[in-house]
Amino acid sequence: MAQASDIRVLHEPSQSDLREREGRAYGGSAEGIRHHYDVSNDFWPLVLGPTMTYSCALFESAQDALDDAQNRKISWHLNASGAPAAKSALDVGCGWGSVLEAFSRIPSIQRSVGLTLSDAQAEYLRQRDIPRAEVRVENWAVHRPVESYDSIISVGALEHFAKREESRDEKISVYRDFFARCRQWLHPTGRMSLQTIAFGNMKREDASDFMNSDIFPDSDLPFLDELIEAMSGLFEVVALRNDRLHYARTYDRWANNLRQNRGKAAGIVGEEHVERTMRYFKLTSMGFRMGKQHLLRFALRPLVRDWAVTGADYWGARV
Amino acid sequence: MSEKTPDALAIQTWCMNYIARILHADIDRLDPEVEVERLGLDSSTAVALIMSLEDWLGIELMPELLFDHPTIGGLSKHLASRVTGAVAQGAMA
Repeated sequence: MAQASDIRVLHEPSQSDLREREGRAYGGSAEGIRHHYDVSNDFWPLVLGPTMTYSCALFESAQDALDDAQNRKISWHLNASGAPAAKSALDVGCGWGSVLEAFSRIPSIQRSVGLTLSDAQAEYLRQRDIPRAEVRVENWAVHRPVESYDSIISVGALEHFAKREESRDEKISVYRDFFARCRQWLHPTGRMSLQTIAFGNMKREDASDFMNSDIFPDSDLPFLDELIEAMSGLFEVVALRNDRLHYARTYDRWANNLRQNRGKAAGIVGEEHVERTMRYFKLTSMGFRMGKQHLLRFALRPLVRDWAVTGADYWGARV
Repeated sequence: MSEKTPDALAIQTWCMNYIARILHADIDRLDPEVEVERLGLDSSTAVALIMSLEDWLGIELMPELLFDHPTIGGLSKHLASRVTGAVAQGAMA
């Protein structure tokens, strides 16, 4: 059996899968991300609640509390990415740190890394000082890990990778670059989980200007087939769920929280911003209910040459 | 709300006028017992309707309402019972 030191080296997918970083906005525009998230660290808790998780929750019933549903979602990703047995873990697009916090409660994880492009989120996380977690204000396209990861989670980041003006092929090559890098950073026995919004029964050109320019500038959504094409030869799909109605419900809960805290929120960001956010929440909820957008969750296993690894049913780090 | 609480018919009339206005449609040709989707509402006009109803009635409404009550007739009856409930609750407080 190989020594731990032997198998922790990073291995290379083909160079054609990787792209040089092209321009400041490649792989996620810092300006676009700051526009949406860097409102104020006092604003988002009023909307998101104590978990500070800004992505689709996982409900068991309509009566579930939002916080319970958010924690269930995080557990799903921990299990899908083999985190309970991992030694090192990465969160691409770590937000306000709910996944890093969950990593820190897993005894086997000695080191976790969170990437974000938001200064406000990084500042918030520095104050939280999560044990064994390193937070980097860094684009995944320039991330250079010091050693491989056993577990990679990315929730609600991929929506920012591609730009609206890019062609289908350009979008796929950005996604493929992302999957190739994750595949390269992942230990052969590692796992990855991914959550993203995707276009459903709508055409890309029908996306509303309000959403694309006012709410999420410099961002575009993938189609499921683009992701499948982008990961082909790099990952196999272990599980895939489309939980779009869970996201409609999540947005409804955020709208509810915002309404209840309306006075306080308006004091922080202004009445007009509150009104705009409310409209965005309702529109998005409606879009998920109508199936215009889907919410995809993937459990992925890296494709490796070694059939002894491919056929083994262990999860997480080989100790 | 300072005026008297609207009943189902008042809410229905308000909705039909609103829809006729935003869709530039003849109100007499809009059937309140037909699904709002078939009246021609899309996601943004449906959300506009919901948010305007919220402002008018002073209660919180979620988009799922239109899936539970897909006709204006049914929606109006449901909303009438909610505003009556909200008024009763307010009177008790």
